Amino acid sequence: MDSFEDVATTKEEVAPEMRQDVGAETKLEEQDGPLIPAEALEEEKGLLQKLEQLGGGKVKRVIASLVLGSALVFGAGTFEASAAGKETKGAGVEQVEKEKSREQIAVGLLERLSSLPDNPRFTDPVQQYLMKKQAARTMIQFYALQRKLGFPEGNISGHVSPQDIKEALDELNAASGLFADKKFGNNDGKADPEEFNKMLQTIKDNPGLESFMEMIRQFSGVR
Amino acid sequence: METNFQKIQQLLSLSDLSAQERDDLLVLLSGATDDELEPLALLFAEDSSWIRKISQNYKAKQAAFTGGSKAAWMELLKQEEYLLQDMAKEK
Repeated sequence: MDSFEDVATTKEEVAPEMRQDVGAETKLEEQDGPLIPAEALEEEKGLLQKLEQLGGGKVKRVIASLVLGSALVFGAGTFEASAAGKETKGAGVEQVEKEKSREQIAVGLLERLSSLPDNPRFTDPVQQYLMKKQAARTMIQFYALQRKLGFPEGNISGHVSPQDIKEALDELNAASGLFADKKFGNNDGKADPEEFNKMLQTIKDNPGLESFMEMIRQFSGVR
Repeated sequence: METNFQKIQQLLSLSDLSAQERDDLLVLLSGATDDELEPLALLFAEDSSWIRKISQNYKAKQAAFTGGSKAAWMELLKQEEYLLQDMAKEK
């Protein structure tokens, strides 16, 4: 089998005794309608957990990779519906109109990243923290798209490359001194080392800023 | 120290994915923490044929999500089931 798309055509290759009734096949005909991300993710996790017994470490890595893909696809796609998504929407037309310069827009995003609201759907603090990290990443990707398109009004869609994200991160990084001055300093419009250090000290407990720093590291090799 | 994201980036550069496919996958993966990327980095390193399979799986998920059809999603789950059962058969 050369590709995932081939999988659908290879079902007859699998011996009946190796098949396990784990549900996806039997549910297919009876389930149509709108795709609800949270339910879809649970269905996939349930199915794959039952299949974990089929193999060892490699199967587990495949399963973890498949689940990760779903979480990322649904996470990005449903972002606007999340509590953190409201923050991104706020960063759109109305706020952009108020903020005069690109640097101020970048500072605005850093402020929102640093104070992401709790998502009422989650009560577990660890999950809450991870969701904020994920939300922050999506907000930065969205910022990269806004930036690429020149911060247009209205709904936007489009493709961003790793280079676009790298450039957006560079811009945010350049604005971090001003953000530190505003958030942790005397807001005199000048970034000083003490204010910057205060910001750095908060990163380990701040999911939004932690994600921002992780992405800077991740994209440091992108040219 | 090299991050999992950077390891994946390197492995993708050696793969037969097109530049666009590599970019799309990397952008999607940028939404994951480095810990979350570890199984994927290990999988790609141990068997590069999974790079294309995962790329296609993620694209199919994006299409299912965009289309919003539960039936399409269930079809995808069925394919994942076959894929894993094929792996068991090959053992």
